[in-house]
Amino acid sequence: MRITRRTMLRGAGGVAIGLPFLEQTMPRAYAQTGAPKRLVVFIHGQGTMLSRWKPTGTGANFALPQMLSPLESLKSKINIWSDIDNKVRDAMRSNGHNAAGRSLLNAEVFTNPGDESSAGAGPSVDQVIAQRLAKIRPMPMQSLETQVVGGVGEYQMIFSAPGVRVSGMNDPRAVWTRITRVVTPGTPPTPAQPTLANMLHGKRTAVLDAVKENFRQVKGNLGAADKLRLDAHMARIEEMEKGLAPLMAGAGGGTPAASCTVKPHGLPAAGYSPSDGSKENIHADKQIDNVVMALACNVTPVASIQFTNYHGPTFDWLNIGLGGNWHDRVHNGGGNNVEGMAKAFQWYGTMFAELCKRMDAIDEGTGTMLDNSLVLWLSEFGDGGAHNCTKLPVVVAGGLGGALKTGRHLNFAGRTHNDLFVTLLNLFGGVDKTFGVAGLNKGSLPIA
Amino acid sequence: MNRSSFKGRAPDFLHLMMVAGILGGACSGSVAGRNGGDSDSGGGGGGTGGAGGGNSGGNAGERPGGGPCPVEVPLRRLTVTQYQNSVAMIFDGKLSASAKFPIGEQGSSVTGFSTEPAVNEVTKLGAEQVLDASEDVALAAMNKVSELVSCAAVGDESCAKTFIATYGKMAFRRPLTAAEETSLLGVYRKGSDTAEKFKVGIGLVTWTLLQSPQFLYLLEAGHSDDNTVFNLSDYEIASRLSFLLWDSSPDKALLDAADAGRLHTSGDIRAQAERLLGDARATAVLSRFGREWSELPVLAGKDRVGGFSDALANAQRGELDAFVRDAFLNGKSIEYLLSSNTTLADRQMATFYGLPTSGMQDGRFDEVTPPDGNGHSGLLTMPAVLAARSHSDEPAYVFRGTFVLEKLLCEEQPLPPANAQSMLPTFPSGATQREKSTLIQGVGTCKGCHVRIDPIGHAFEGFDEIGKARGNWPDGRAVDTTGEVVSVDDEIDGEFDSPKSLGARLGKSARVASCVARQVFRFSYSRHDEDADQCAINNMLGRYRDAGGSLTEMLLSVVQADTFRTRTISGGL
Repeated sequence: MRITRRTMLRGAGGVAIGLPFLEQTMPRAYAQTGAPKRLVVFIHGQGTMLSRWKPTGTGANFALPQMLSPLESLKSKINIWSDIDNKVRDAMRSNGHNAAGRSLLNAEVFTNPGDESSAGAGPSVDQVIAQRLAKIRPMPMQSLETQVVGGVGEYQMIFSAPGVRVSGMNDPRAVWTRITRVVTPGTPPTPAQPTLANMLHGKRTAVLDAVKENFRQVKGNLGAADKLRLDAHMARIEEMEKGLAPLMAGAGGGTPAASCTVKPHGLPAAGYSPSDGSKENIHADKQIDNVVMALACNVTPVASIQFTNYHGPTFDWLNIGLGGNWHDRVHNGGGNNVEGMAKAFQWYGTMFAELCKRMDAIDEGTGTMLDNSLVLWLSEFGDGGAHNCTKLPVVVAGGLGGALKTGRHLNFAGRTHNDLFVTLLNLFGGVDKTFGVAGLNKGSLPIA
Repeated sequence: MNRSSFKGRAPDFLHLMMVAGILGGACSGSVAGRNGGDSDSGGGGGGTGGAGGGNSGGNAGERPGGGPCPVEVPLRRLTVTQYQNSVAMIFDGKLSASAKFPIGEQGSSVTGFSTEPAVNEVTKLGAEQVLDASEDVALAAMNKVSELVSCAAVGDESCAKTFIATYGKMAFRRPLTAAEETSLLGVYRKGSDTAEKFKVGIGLVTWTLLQSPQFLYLLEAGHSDDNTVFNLSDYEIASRLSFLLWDSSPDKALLDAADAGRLHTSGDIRAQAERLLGDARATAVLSRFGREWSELPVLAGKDRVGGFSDALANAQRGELDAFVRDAFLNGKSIEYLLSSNTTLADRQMATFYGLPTSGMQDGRFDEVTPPDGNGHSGLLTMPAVLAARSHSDEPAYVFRGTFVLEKLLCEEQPLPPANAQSMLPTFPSGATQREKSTLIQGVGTCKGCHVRIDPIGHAFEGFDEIGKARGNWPDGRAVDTTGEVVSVDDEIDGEFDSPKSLGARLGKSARVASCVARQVFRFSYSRHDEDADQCAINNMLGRYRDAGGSLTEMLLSVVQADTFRTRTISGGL
């Protein structure tokens, strides 16, 4: 298909590059219907207070303790899977955090066993699902990674392949821009003026071609490790370009849900710092909006929200008088402020509930967006005070369009998070038997 | 060894070591795959490093000093700071970098230094951010093109060639090859079907330049007769020098020197290095060196329970910056660095030390002498360092002991075993830190490391969790400042009565001198040192000693050495 310059310019006027153009050129691809399968991963650090997390009673008859109480109104739409262990961590030499973080989503060890700064030796489950979904129903972004506060440090846990890190964005404004520039709900905008910016932007492909050519040309006199570095950079450019390709070439991801609305993020251009830990509640709120918008507008089927301020959140907005550094408080079991620590942990549940409620407010005809999705809430530790990786606090919200029965607490003592991920892969249509480090799988968890 | 990020995070590996333990036997040797501080063969061992090393001889079995000592240098991507500085340098301050280039800190650093390649890996999102950030600069170049090239009014292809040659050279830090010029002209011509073909073409060229590996990476082809040792070109030396001392692309004066072929002798390079060190841009770099060497997290006021604030944390960092910078710019010695009873304080820090503040300003650091009772001992008792190595409400003796072992003695501590948590003994209620430490050392597996870490760390209990000197614990117990170094090196082994006497001992130690040189080496070459690097490190030590103990000479010895003008490639091409 030939893309005329005029078409490209039209889309380049600020927020609209993609979908209006697709609508015009690719009505069939665009007209795919039905709610897509979606996955959202919600991660925060330091585990939980396990004694106030695990529900009493199993099956459909259970009560939600304090940590899960924010989910009360969603009780019929969630699964609580208790006592699942991260056994991979036991095989990793590391401080208390690197191993726990790195292995959380991929159930894999370090690429270099002697180096706890090295990347994960396998892809994370969210990326595997994203890669598979992209083959079935490509969207402008294969996945969208967001962070709250930023600076992922020891808790780099998202990988697209062995050793290949996936980074996220912590500025809700930048995430918003990234989403909205590939979606324009409602009527297409009037054709943009041929501004310098538009004229430049329309030539993106030519620039990337020249850049890639330069990468091909500079390989003289480099050692093997250096060649690998440049090859990896080149590979990331190509992946990025492939991500842009649906926009450039017109292969759309489907109709934005009727409820695809772009509401302004409402954050000021200046005087707002996404890394300001005292405003974590605001950043989180905005990233939740971003993720829900990206899903509703079919910008991506897979997203994550990672609270990256895992050691230093101050919880100012809760007025709990934390009294010192959060990580220290968790380590000593809350010290003389156990109730304050409990409220802080509970806040993560409140934000998870907020995410689910916003998804549940979107009617997709065949159930709500929450009903048609899986939203996974995880942390790298079970009990925060012990800093250990057994009895992970696993909550799965949503039913993935009926694939998963909800409203239950199931106990999976003795099972691994490798199997948790096998279960997720199979819920998304896979026929997987293993995931991550070998020898830790028994297969899908009995969730039927 | 700290693989936690160096931005805003406490060094967490220490937490676990504090509450639990580390494998015993491993603590008496070097870390696998690295040149550990107490390896028997390295320059750091047993007082052999440095004292007899350097130009005058070196260790048996090693290459005699004064040789070329080529080393391997990993391919480095520009850090965020370097990217920002370089964009400003390329366009002579007329354009600045876009804030959309926040890509950095993907992995984490082994040495603590942010120029390590792993920290600057490009992810898929990173590639997009490079694309977007360079597009912003390209658009700015289009809008300001008349300020960038005087022929802009004509706006023809000849003018485009001028732009390509001028800014291409600045961006790639050397004259373009004919093939590169042709290719960039081709990029320029892609704008020819637009209404603003000249400006769009200039934008496209800029957009391409700033994403190209020739700009984003410190590519060093060099030339070699035997494909083992590569001699760098004058341009490549200009880049090494400029990124090392300015965190920036070379300025015009450096490129002019390279044009004239005056940047490959030791004397020419030294002269340029001295010029660069005299500039404010070197100030920022040496501050970064001090912070990254000591792996200083950015603390917030809320990270400590009492008497702390964002402003105090910031002033403490400023003191460390100023102190380390001064030592390396003004020819101070390692003895001064570790045992000086003076420091550099601004008004806030003077207040902190209980000194008069008249005539002092916040943010301006003047030499002061903390009160005698403070027991001040240079970097060793620097409040920024001690506050960073604390918990919310008490000192972290393991962090502090590990600081001395890892950062000053280059004795890296092995990673804790996976099951360290489960080995933790039960502490009686009200146990003191020293009592807890004794119990931990009673666990066989923990003992190997903690027997070395803890007796050093405890000696700092006279400084509280914000780094303030004190005579008593909050419960009224008098502090105990005694400690012990357990080492095979007789020069430093043995008990000591206070951090001050520890500082004096370490300041004279050849092992410490070797470690400081190794830290400078890591900073300079963006990787951990290996056994093979000892030749180059010994040269640095030799220069340091020949100059009567000058850290400035140690730094300059890096750029003056043949090592700086060459590279090797492990495994060959």
